[in-house]
Amino acid sequence: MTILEVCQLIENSQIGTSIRESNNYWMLNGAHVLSLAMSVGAIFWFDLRAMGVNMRHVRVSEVYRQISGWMYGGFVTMFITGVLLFWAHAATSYMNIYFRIKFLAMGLAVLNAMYFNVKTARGIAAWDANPVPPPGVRIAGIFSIVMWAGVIAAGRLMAYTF
Amino acid sequence: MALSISQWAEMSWWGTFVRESTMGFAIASVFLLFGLTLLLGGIFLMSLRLFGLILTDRSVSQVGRDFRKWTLAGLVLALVSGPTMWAATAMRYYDSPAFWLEQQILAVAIVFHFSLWEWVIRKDDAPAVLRAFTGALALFLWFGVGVMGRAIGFF
Repeated sequence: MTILEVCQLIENSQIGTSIRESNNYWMLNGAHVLSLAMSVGAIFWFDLRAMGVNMRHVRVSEVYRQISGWMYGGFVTMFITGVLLFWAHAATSYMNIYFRIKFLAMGLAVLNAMYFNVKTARGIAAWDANPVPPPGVRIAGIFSIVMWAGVIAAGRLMAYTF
Repeated sequence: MALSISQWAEMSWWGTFVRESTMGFAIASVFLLFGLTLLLGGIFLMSLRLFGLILTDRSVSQVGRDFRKWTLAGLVLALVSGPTMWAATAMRYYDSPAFWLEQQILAVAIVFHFSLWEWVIRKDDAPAVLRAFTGALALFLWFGVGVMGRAIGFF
């Protein structure tokens, strides 16, 4: 069975159909967009600190500690609503080029965050309080913003190419 | 009045240009979402500070200074891209109840933002109840604008 056939099964399932045909589908869509704004919005502020552009007088680790819980909360909501939206349009999404770009950008953003946590943040004590962190940290911040902007743009363009 | 403004916008060179370009409307909606992400992210985190949930070791006015510039940038981006989308298909928006509700909430949100919100985030001695009320109202209004904006596609 191909991936497309699996996606067709998901889309045509009873749950997929009932989500698609529900009168509350727009609310699911709205919740997805708002949780994205909440989580990516929070990431953006951390990235600005990592880039040394904003909140320069607050430790990088402190900014992360304060907002990470809310960021992950937004992510969980975004993920759940995203899965439900995918359920309703699995095959259509799978065939859509912007859906694939969105996933690629999201994957790269997550890899960047993992690399930052595992490698870059290891020596954080040396630059935690620096108003402008070292180039590697700033590049990670810029890369994160670009990738998440890509996720937003591709996600929005998906709606126009269904 | 609203009908003639909508007709004028849709027939304007800008509305026609966006409507007739292949990706004009879609690109405007991407920039609207960029603006909303900046705006809602900033409002959300600043409201958490007003609730006393994050960055409590720094004063409200200090945190407010950090958030003001980028949040305003998000608002400006949304206020440029939003009307661009509207101009392209103003007559369809004219018939949408969700659009009119969004505009009403937006008008209240903008007045609130440049009055009570700006006043409270500059003051370090505002009562906790007023801070919490301001944060809650900001979330309600701005996220309400976002929800209604999304609803336009359906109603």
